[in-house]
Amino acid sequence: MSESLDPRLNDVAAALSALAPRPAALDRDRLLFRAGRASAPRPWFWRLSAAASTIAAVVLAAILLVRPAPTPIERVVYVQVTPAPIPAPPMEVAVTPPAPLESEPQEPAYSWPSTPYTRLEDRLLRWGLDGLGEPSPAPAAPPETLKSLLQSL
Amino acid sequence: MTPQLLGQLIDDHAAALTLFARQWCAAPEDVVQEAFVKLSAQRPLPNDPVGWLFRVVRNGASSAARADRRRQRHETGAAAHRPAWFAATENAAIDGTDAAAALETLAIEEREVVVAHLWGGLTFEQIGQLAGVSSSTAHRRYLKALSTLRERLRVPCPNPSTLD
Repeated sequence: MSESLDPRLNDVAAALSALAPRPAALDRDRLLFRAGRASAPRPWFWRLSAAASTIAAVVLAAILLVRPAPTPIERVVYVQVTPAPIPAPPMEVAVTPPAPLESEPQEPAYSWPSTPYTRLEDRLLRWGLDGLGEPSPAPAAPPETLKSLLQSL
Repeated sequence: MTPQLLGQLIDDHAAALTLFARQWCAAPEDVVQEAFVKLSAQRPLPNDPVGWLFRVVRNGASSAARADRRRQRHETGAAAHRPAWFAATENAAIDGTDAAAALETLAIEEREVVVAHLWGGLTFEQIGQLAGVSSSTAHRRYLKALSTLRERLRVPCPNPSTLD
């Protein structure tokens, strides 16, 4: 189309195109670096996985915060009790009581009553009259009289 | 896109693209740089990378111009100093400053056609696609713009035989 121009306009166009545009104040190396970075493939996998992990963490945290308190669970547990082993009869070992310390107050040692009287006394002191036991039934025979005694001699 | 091809495009077209962006905004280098970065991320590569670059620069410069206008409400003094559009050239028939001043008087629709054709090397068909008009409309705008510039610049005729 420019061939059909008025020659005077062609001169204007030639004079104008003789002017060189001011060089662009571009940092060529920086521009190439940025272009290389922009042309690199986007790491979509890592971006998506990071986003999914973040969303999952937020959802789980929300669930943890708003969930109701756990209800106690009642369970019936049957426990089979095995009989305890019978302990072996204790060995009779002569145990000598430790010597009492002189500083501690001494309690009077209990002496098992050896005579019938002392046994009775002991039983009465422990259990009172109940310690005497049931009274022995009355003898069927008539009480002895002086005469019968004399006769038995 | 290979680094060699991108470097070649930068070397061949960065200055013209910057001049083209300068028709709209005050920071054309940023717009041009972003356009090259966007081009490198294109998959697949555009069929016409140069036309694509001019289109992206045009859109980016228009957006930047809107931001410039908002900013200039607060920074009126900052826009007073404008850098030169053309490099100093020996034996040029027209002074670069005068040419820039004359270009600035044109309507933006005419100015973009002149800049894209004369310094960008685009055909009128490419300019038509760029501006969203037909190629004949782009050519008509170009002729009108040259007529206006001829009157304002009073270009000396280098070859008297071409005159009527």
